[in-house]
Amino acid sequence: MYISLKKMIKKEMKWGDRMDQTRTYSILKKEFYEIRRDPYTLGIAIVMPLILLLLFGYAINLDVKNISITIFDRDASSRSRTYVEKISSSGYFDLVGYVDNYAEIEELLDKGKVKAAIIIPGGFAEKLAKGMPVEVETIVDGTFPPAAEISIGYISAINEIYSASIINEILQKNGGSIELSPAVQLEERVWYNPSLESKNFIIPGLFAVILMAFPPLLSTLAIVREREKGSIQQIFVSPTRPIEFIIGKTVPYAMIAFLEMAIILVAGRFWFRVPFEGSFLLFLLLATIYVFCTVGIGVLVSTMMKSQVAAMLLVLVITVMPSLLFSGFIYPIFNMPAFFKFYTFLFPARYFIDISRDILLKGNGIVEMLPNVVMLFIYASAIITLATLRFRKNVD
Amino acid sequence: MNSRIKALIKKEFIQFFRDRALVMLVIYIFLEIAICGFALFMDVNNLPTAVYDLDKSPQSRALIEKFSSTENFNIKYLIQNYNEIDDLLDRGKASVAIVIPKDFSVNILEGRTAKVQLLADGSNSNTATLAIAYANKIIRMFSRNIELERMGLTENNAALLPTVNNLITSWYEPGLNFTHFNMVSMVAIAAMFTGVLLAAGAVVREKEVGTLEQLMVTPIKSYELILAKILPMGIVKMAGLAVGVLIAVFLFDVPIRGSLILFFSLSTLLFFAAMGLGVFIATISKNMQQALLLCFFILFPIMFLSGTMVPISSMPKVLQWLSYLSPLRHYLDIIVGIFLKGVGLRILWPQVVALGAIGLTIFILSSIKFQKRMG
Repeated sequence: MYISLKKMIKKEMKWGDRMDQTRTYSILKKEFYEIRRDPYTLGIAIVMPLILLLLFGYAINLDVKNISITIFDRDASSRSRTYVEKISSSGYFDLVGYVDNYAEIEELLDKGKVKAAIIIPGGFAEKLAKGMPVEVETIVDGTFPPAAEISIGYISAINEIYSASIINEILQKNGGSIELSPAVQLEERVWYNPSLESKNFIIPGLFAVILMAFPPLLSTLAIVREREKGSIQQIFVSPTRPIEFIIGKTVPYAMIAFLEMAIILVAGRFWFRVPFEGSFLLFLLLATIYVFCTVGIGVLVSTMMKSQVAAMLLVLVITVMPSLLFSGFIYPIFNMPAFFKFYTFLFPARYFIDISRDILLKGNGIVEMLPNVVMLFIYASAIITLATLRFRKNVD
Repeated sequence: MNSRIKALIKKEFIQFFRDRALVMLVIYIFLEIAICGFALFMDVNNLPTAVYDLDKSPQSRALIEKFSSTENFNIKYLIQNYNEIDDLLDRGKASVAIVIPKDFSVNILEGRTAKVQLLADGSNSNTATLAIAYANKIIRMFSRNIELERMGLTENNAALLPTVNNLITSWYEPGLNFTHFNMVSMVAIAAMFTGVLLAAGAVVREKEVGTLEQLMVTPIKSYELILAKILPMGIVKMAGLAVGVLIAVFLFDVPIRGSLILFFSLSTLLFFAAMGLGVFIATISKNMQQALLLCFFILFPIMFLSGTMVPISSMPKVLQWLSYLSPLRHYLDIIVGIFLKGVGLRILWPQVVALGAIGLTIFILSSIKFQKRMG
């Protein structure tokens, strides 16, 4: 990307007079001045990532706990009460209360007051005492399937353990005893994030999202604003070259982007205690390339749109949304249909999210991440070349 | 007064629809969001899996067969040593690795507990949690059959043991299809986002160009002005919403269990709240950049505290309380209620009241602020 930039600068020099550093510098100065004059924007641009970080860190908790349930105990025996005790003491469920009929269950589920209802059939204790199986009915609210599936899993596990204890009880009563150890057991070991905390998964991905959301937005608006006002024409008729204009316009926002990144990096590390296993320098280097991608997209958008609102919406569509949805940030890519797997390659967030998680959690070096690094590199070069070409065409 | 508003509304219509790209984009956002239904799943299927079978016995092969016969695990690599596991997980080529130790079949045959190791890449904690749950389910089934055999029982007479069996029914979404929830929540998000952004954008643009002052010196009341501003956008957004709903229903079989009329009329409440918020943001910001940043500043919390992305019930208590302030939370309850649950106003009235109250408060606030700013 550096090379292509250099080439472009060389081309510029061939085309006309040399790229003038003082001209670039004065646009830079003007842009910095405009940012300074508007401390409000700067403030938001810096506070915003922190708010996002707090929100994601605390609100995006994909662990399902305290599922609110109600129980319809049609047996009302001491046996059924011990069964209920097993459920409520499992730590997964939050028993909201008992109901006496199905209509109440329907009402509670409709209102969303409970996510599941357990119905203990009449004759529960009697049948078990006679050595017969019983069926406990569970109704789950399926509107949010991932949570529903987890509830089903918990309830099945509780029933299994309870069944085993009953069988054991009966066997012991009859004087016999059988070892009820499981035949096969799963020993799970989790690498990279042993405690399976959502925040360690979310926050490294958030770096990519935040760097994708703000720098392109700010740089697009900075350029389109001048176009809306018409002041861009004045710049075009001046001897300023497009590349000088682009550098002058984007460097300040790239710097803000780095400031944003530094803030969330520090907050993530020290407030949320997200690990940082790999090389900081490598992370910084790859983040820089990524910022070139994101700012490049901003410039590209600015060449296509006439009004700030439209530009902003387009940025939303091609940067923020894909980086949230089609990047593996929350929804895993291997789960997508083939076409969308391919679609994710169009957005650089996908590469950087992998890189960020690899460096922070796995401590990977450049060798393990080579495919992603190469793609990021190609992407940055391509987007900057494209943006500059389009920009030049626009000027002519 | 009537003709005044009429003229104003006419002007807004012309102005709004002149920006074709903008109109297309608004509709496109609803489209793109609906398309997400094709691609986004929270449940985990086709998880790239590596298997390291040290035992190579009929038992171990039977277990591997159990794993590969589910949709959840996609056994991509059969490996021969531990180092390969390192490599596959490091590079992210496999998300889990199953290791079957050498004594697996011996332990099973001799009545001891055989162990199976599962190594999961925890850098995606959600996937790893689900993968462990799925694996546990498979192992439990596998184990149960062996245990029954050890007790000298077959599957049939095992059913006569005094056990507590599951009879699970899933209401509203019997197939537990995540796409349906995903669709309606995406449509809700699109309605909220476009509402705030468009309204804020339109008002700030007039402010920047300076035409807002001209309007302010006319006898038009500030609430009239705001209403005239948001009406054309409301119509485009309604069209966008209809596109989103059409896609959800015809492409993804999202059921319409409740009343569509109720849905569209309650959607105006959300539009009202969203666009009121947009106008409010516009009045307190000086230029477009500020306004748009502020929009994001407010939209992200609204989105995350709404239950559209993750259930509110798994958030910390403080955030759960705060979520009541998010208009999107109430709207999501409404849209899920009408489409998936098929409930009506009898159940949804608290959400409707809350959404209306939020909308009205914002509208009054922005009218006052608008007047002060300009007056």
